[in-house]
Amino acid sequence: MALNLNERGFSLMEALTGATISVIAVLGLAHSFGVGRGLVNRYEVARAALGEAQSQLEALQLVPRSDATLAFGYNSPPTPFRYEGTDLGTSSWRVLPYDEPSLPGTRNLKLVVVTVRWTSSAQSDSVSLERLWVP
Amino acid sequence: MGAVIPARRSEAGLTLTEVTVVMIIGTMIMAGLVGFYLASQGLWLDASTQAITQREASLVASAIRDRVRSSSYAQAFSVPDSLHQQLALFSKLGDTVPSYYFWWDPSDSLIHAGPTIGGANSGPMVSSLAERFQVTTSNLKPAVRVDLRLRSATGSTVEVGTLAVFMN
Repeated sequence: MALNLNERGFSLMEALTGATISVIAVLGLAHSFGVGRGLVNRYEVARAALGEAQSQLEALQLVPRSDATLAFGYNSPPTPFRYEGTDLGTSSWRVLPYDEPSLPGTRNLKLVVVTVRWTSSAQSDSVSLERLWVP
Repeated sequence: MGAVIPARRSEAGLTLTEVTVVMIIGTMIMAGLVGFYLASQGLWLDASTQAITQREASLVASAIRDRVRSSSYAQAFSVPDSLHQQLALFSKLGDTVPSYYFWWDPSDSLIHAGPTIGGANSGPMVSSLAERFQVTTSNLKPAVRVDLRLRSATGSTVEVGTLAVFMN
């Protein structure tokens, strides 16, 4: 009696091929988890940098508006950006003229831009916050 | 009596050696897959809880910043130690009773907030444990500096610091 072809089951080669494909799929999945973990770490520093920029903008509120460090065109020297006791980068701000069409003049507002730059895991990153101030 | 028909190769089944080899290979592959699955699950859990803690740290910093901005002055007390402090905010200059508090509760190690300490409408802000909740106030600067360190459910720590200026 001749056997039907679909009763022969899988050959070893078929089983090994299937297993190889499964292993590749699982490795891809595991890699995606690793990438996700790396992104969480990256944005941990980014959140800290955002907090640093917000604090810097807030601190500038205490500086008199007529101060030289808030004059048009001012670029502050970089100050260290630290996170968990480690210097990761620098923080600085600059003051730019801003033209609000509904106000008289062309340099009627100050655009204060705080930028925090850092390097983490050999990857450079930065975050900038802007705020408009009345001169 | 019929003639004995020899079995064809395809009907011979598997030998013990073949079954053993297949089982060993299958076990190794399954062990690898389970190992990867468990490692990936641990990684995902760690990343997920740390992301939650990061968001909670940002939330606490943002809430404190908003409250400080709507206040006129503040007082900080070390309760129960210098790593954990209590921030009392006052709506107007001259007020003797704080309008809002942020504090670390030693009974649950969480950061609490509310108009009164332990009263109605007061409770924990987030679910992450706080290892550090330090507040710095100064008579020279109308601002409050808050530094906190939260610990995620899997033990990772997240630090955040914020400075807020009184605007009321």
